[in-house]
Amino acid sequence: MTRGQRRAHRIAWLVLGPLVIAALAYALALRADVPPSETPGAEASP
Amino acid sequence: MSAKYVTVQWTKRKIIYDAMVVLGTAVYIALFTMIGHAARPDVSGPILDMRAYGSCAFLMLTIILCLGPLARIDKRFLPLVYNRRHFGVAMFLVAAVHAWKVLSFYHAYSDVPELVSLLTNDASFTKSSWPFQLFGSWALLIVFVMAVTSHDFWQKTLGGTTWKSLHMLVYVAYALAVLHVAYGALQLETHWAYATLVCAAAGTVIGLHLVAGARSNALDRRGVTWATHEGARWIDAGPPGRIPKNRALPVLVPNGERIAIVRDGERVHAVHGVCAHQGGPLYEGKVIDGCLTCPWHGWQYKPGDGCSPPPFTEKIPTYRVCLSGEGHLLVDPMPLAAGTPTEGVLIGKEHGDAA
Repeated sequence: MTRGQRRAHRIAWLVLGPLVIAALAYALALRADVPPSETPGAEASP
Repeated sequence: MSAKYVTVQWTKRKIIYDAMVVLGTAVYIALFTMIGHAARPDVSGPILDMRAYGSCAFLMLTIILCLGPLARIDKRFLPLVYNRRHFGVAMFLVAAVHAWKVLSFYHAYSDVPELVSLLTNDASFTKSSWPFQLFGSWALLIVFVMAVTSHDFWQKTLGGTTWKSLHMLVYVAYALAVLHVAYGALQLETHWAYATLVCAAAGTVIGLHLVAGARSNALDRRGVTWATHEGARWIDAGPPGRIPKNRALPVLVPNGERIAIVRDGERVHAVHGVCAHQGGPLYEGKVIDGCLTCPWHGWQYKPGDGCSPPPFTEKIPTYRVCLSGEGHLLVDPMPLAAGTPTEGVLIGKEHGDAA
């Protein structure tokens, strides 16, 4: 890999990593609050 | 590597690799469905099916993204990186089946076309609901673009930098896939085991990339070690015996790029460290049939002149090397034109042996 590619990989994960962890933590926190019947997409079932 | 356009250049290794991917996928989906039917009779067949394909695609993408950093941390994983593209295309096909099953089950009875229903039914962010189907759709769109542009034809047409940048979007696709699962399946299935599995998968991918990045950064930070030889400045690459037999090691050059010092038997050469194909790390390659072989897709170069073996025509720059009075390997920092033959240096047993 070139120097630029190595740097791009590092930056990508330094930015994406914390964002994904934060969004995942928020999703897990939501689970405690939302009853299954109100879960997004559940009303779309035939 | 190819002297002319061919759809797929099959080799025995590629066939075995692909067979393992197909077999693994089939076994996973069969086991998921069988165990799911037995353990969760309350979940209908079609839903179990879409979950089998969805979870399989997520697992495949997780494994694919772990292969690169694992191979940089431990060379024993390098064979798995080879032919990773076919693994990626297989992952897209499994994800596409998941999407098709979702569309035909949840959105087939909508008043509007299925895709419109998918994109509008659940498209808003609220405090308690995120549009998980949109996350999945975007992730699928990215891996679709990657799958259709995975052939070398597109790499040559788009140019190496554009192609590589486009394919780095796989990281965004993975982040979207994690959100798709977290705001979709994990909201329905509240058992702690599912959340643990998703967190472990995402944590492994993120952790491995950060660790591999930190190690790579440490090598770059070490900088260039200089030595003076016959009045000129050379790069001190250390004792040649530290290069395992028929392997390559990275050496930093002044512009921040890496070259590969290659040990072919008892002779050591230095060549450009970046493969002409997709920028693969030649300095992590090994010598097969007398050629330095890129760990990503098996492109080969003769260590002595940086030329691919006939009938192939690719060439990479070479570097002059010599031994210092202390027995260290010295590399001329000025690259020679691609394909220029070099003598290399012959190392004896007195220089040690890492093989």
